[in-house]
Amino acid sequence: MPSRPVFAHSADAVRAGGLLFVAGILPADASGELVGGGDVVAQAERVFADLGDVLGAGGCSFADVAKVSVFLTDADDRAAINPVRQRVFETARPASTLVEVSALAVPGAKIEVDAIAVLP
Amino acid sequence: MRVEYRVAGQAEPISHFTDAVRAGELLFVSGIVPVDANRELVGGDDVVAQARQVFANMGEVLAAAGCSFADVVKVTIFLTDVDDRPLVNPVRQEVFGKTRPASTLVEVPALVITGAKIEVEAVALVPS
Repeated sequence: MPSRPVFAHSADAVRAGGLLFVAGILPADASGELVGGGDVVAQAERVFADLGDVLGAGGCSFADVAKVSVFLTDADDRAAINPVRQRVFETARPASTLVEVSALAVPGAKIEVDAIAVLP
Repeated sequence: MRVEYRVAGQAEPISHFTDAVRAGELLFVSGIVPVDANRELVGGDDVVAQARQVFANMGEVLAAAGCSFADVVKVTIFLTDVDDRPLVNPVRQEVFGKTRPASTLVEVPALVITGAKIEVEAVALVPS
């Protein structure tokens, strides 16, 4: 897995029994710098690419995801990022909660996603 | 073990997700908003009426996966006005009875459904 930025006292993911808890992923490179500029779709592409890497490191794939939480700084961006979700999850449909939040930990970030997956 | 539940009578998911997913012994219920089967807001601007619809929907999703409110281990409640907490609490007491789930409640600036004041997600333990 490519190196991941560390923002706080957390791991990328933790396995607990048969589940993998993936920490909230922000659109940032290994240095913690924002990726995607002001484009929420480009940001979402990066977030879900990194989610795929973290899932892979934990022995999971998108098909194993049971739940995602999507945090947007503008709830109206939901429609714009849905095609990215469709592409990565394909026929799998996780449970999901999506809410707007006032700010995320990386300046300029418009999206953060965390996930819980079932180990195959 | 991973099983997706798409529950009859629940509004078509607004994005690429489903109503609930069972992962082993746990059931993850998607964030539920106060809408009817056509995704029309229920309860107007009354947060109590909205909460009743949310928990009614949740009861149906739980039941579809063989669970009840007594099996819920965790809820996360998102309110657009944190001061609405005391108003929705009696609804929580009604539906959960003597069961007390773990819970997180936070205020958010906006929910996906226009006019919605409450969204609730849950994790339940599927009875063996």
